[in-house]
Amino acid sequence: MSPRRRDFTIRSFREGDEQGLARLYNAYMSDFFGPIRLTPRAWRAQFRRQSWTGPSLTEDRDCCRIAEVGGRILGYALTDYQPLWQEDAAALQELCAVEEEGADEVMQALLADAERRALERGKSYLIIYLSSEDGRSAPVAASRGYEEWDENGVFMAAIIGLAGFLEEIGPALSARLAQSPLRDWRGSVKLLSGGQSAGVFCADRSVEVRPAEKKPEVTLTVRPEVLPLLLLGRETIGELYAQDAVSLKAADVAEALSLLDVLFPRLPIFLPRAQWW
Amino acid sequence: MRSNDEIKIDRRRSDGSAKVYVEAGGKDVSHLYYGPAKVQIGERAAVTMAGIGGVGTDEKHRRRGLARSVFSRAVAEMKREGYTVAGLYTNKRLVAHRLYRRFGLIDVGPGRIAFKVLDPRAFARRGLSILAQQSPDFGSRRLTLRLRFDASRPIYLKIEGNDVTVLPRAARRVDLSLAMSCMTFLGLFSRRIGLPYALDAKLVQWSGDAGAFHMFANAMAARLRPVDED
Repeated sequence: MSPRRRDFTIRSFREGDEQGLARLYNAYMSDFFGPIRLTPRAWRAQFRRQSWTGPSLTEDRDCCRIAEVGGRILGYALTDYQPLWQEDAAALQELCAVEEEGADEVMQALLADAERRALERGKSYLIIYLSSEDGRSAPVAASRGYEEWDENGVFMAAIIGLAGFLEEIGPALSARLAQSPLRDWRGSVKLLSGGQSAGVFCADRSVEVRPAEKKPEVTLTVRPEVLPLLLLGRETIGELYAQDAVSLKAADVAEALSLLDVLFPRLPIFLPRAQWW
Repeated sequence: MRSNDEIKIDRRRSDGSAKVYVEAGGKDVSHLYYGPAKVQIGERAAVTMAGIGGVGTDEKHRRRGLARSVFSRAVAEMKREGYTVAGLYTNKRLVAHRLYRRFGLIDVGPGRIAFKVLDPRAFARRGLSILAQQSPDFGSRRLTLRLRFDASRPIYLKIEGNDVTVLPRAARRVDLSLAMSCMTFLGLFSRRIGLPYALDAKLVQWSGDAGAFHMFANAMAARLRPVDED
């Protein structure tokens, strides 16, 4: 537990805070999810609306409360006071603080502030959406008497557009290839899963997503029930291959596995903590 | 689905979300919502996911395949709108979890939720009000109830005419006393656990009039679940 600090104040969001909030968000989340570089504009876009039913940050600046000292932002809390289907509750979606002395104190104060404001708005309980990777907000919540609701909560996902998904992450695929020992690998990879197919073409240290070729160098067939695990970075190609959840056709299977591991590595995933689930 | 059931889509929402629902007799009887949610995968990759929420079917319209039809249509709409990933948070113990699996959704990671009751009296009144409104037999009976959360002071409530009021002081005569944790209360009223299980696991203790307790138990059993397996 970090030492107590009482020199900060808590205030509501003001236009222009995005710069400091994005910086803090990136620093805080990087501890759990790897390097994240959200721009101030992207931060605002991401948190433009606190919920599907609640007002925007512009309309209700109390949704974002900021702890600061001498104009320097130490932490912030994002709270949705109108969560869908939970009209008696408020939902705290983000609780971040800079990693320095008194960070726990700042987070506890922000949480206490959110509780007070929830009560003022007639809410009888406060929900906190915790990321499984976030090792800091959970102990702070526990220290203020929060109980974990249910160990059976689960996030489920399906890839409903394989080719489109690969296009969306295309720049990331290129960067992964370019930074790997296989950067000079040239050829095409065909991905098949359920009724979906897509192709990626690697050349000149870059990846292009295009329709699958008839005679690719590598053909990867993935069982639909594990496709999200691979593409969302939850399990590696090696793990899935060992479980017979994928099949691979290539002249050099070991090299193909290495290439696929470069393109689809295990990665931290940051799930939105929106209230509507 | 019946021939006169109609699947409709409401896109009038300003935040890009949509509601897909079945209308029967001019009434929304089964629906879900979806809208954009960004998922960050590692440092560089981010995709816009269709986040699904608020899935539900009216109790009287269960077992007609409505949830399946709504889900099917919603996924078709998501694809048409260019979404490449669909996702939702649920609970593995809900029947809905199996329905979602049939639509190709798989468990990707845990969804952790923590909560704290800020106002136990309002919390109790709200839960029981929903029960009284949904179960007229329970709500219409005049009943005085004592509810104790953990080791806190008991809360006295009067249920009458489908209305629940918190009494300012201890009632002289109590029909039914219930003791449980806030977590159990929320679990019961959010339909995550059933009353028989809670009693077997000694998560709920009761005393008082057996008739009143059975009415409470029947009302709990009859509560809606978010999605039925239809």
